[in-house]
Amino acid sequence: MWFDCIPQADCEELSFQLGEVLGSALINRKDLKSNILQARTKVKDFVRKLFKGGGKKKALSHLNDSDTVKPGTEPNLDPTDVGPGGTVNRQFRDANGRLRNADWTFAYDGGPKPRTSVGTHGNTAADQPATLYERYDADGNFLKHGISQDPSKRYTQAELDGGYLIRIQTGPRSEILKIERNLVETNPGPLNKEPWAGSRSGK
Amino acid sequence: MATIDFSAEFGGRDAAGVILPHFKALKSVAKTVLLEPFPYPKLVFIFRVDGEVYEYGLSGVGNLDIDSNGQYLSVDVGITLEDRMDVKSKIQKALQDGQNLIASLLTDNDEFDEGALRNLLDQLCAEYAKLI
Repeated sequence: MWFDCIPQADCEELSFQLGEVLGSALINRKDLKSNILQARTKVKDFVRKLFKGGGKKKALSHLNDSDTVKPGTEPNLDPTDVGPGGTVNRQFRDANGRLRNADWTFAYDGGPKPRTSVGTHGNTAADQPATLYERYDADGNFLKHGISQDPSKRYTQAELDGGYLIRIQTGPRSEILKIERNLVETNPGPLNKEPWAGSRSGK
Repeated sequence: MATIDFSAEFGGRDAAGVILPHFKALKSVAKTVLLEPFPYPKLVFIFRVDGEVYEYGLSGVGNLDIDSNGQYLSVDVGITLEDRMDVKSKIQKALQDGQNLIASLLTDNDEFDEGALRNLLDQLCAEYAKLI
């Protein structure tokens, strides 16, 4: 491919610069967008510098005729690459299976793929187990309704603070959330700070 | 100088119904005593009581924990469904076993007096027995 002609040293330099920019982006996520834009600019500058003078043709000039794209002869061509009347769309799949245009930009390939992961975050209202509890202070005053997403968790003294906690019900988190919501709306404790706390008090 | 305190996790309303009278009695007695010397400001016993919703599966004392800020030393006191048949004696035994557990941890600590701890917990057990 045409990019085979890029010297390894240049590739290493580009990798180093990108690593520096993206590493800084990960450390300071607030500036993620600006760091990504900075990285994009660096790539553009690098490619421009690399092909300065002869442009991409210069980089391609050493290739044999057999490497150029011809209808039906390019081994990586999709059947869709051949347009109406035998014209070639000049799109191909790279080594990673990504559809690219002849100028190496990404080609439209049907949009986002559906997620295959079935994992759930702890706060997802799904079927993972959760426990509804009531918390009381050291004098036995009711403080709040709450949900624990780890039924086996043992609360520390720092959390209990001389008070106690009663587990009321365990079940799928989606169900427990509904029950807690109803309790917080109708009979909240002083530490239930949710916006809907007490919205249906007395009902 | 340290205060004694009690906290609890109940595995259901049934567990709370059985243990809360004991828990409140212990807390009221604990307010009247001070432990000196002791290397932490607070010594806490945390009850983990099995119930209809959740069973901790712990019986007796264990799981010594020292607060990362050095504010307390806590000891878990597990009470199973079976232990709930004779709560008073189980709690008294746990407090006595707790003495040995704490002593084994702090034996080389200059700010710890094993005799003082034993006297105080014995006194606490006796006062608690009068209330229940």
